[in-house]
Amino acid sequence: MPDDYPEDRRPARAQNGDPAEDELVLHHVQGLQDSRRLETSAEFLHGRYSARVLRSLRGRGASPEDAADLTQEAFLRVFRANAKFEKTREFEKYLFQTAVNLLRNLVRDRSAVKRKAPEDSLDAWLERHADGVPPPEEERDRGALGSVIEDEQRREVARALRTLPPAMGKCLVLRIFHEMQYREIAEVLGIEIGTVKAHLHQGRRRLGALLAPYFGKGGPRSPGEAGA
Amino acid sequence: MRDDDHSFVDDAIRDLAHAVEAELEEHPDPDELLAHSRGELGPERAAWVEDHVVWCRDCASFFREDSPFDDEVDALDPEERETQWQALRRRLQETDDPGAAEPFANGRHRSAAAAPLPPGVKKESRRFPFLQAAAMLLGALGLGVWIGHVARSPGDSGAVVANPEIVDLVPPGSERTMEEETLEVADDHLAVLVLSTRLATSGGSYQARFRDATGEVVLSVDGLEPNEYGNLTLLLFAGALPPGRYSIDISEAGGGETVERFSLLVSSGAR
Repeated sequence: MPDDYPEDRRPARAQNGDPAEDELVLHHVQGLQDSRRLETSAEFLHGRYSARVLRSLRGRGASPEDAADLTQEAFLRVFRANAKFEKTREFEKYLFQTAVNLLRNLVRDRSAVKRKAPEDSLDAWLERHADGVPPPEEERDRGALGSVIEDEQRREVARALRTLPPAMGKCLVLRIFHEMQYREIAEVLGIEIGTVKAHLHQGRRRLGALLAPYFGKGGPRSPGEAGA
Repeated sequence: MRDDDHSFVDDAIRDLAHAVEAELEEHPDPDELLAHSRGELGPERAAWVEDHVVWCRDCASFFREDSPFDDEVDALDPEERETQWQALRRRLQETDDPGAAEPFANGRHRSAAAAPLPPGVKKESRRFPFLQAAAMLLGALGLGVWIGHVARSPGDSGAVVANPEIVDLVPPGSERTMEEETLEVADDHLAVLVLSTRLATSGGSYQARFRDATGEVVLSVDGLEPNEYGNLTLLLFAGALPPGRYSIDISEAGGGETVERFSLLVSSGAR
């Protein structure tokens, strides 16, 4: 994919497309802080967003019963939270995140396997996937050789990413994996948009050079082929 | 090497990111994400959130400009939505709900799971400002209450005026009603009626007309002005209304159509 694919690839939507409607929603979002308006605002927001929360949870694999329970719990927590929202989007994201976190907790609580939470995402992953560690059962099922190759390639990518300045590596992941816009990346990392662009340009070049021995143009190849 | 020769880099990063994301177990709570987006987190926690967001699509969605929800979703069936809302509403009112004992977020900078209130500190009631407003009004009108009482009972000028009861009145079927309340006032007690209306919160003067069961106006109060919450507050003197059921019609000053209607039951004697 070219470095500068169009910024309007995923255009930001207007605030629901209707400023008056957005203003009404914001009025009710702010009404959650007012004891006299709490119930009216809560009912309005529940009516507006309950189907969306429900669908988000169902889309993430929740059963109809779990999705209904978690939707109610998410609204309850958001309505009782003391957070002050300055924009409708902040409320929506807060509600969405609350619902998704609740679903994660439910799945985790029902799972027999629990691991210690990682301190740092990439480092922790590399630690768990260090050389010589047998692949997890599900990967063995997919074929031992394929699993080893895939794992080795990922390790090389992870190691190469760690050689880049941290912000440069993060810019690459946010752009490529999340398809974030430049200004969104700048907000997450607290850097200038110009720096984001420069990091992306440099990062691709440096990572390309580092990983070239392990990947053929247009697709990966096995580590054994590198240098052949 | 030209930039567009690096598509394998993009593929490799996506592949790695999927693998890392699948193993994420601890996620920041919404308060932390909100605080991070506002630059309000401490450096250590901010770094952790940033490291996490890079690999987590759900949490990264907090920083996107568009809505995390799909706007194309059909609304719930009205009946189902009402059922769910009523269930939620009941829980919202319950102060003893387990969720209330463990507030999800007690502040923007605190973990959702770790937000217990300090010992000895009581959670602020959502209803407090309403009662506070009524209490403040009582304070402000205290002198007036006393004068009114004396004026109606000249023979009791030395008597102590009992604390008037404060009665919240809501229109029947009002969406604002937290619970259906039985509104009862003893005819020998001074009462403060707080009428929770949907009137405009500023400007305008209103009239309250008390009608008995036959529809006859037995008491009329003018010059009522809604406060910032749209509430009208008025005093009901002891003995002003004989026992019975009344409706209170609210209309604009000088008469006109009834814009709100409340009901009131006056019982006989001290309760």
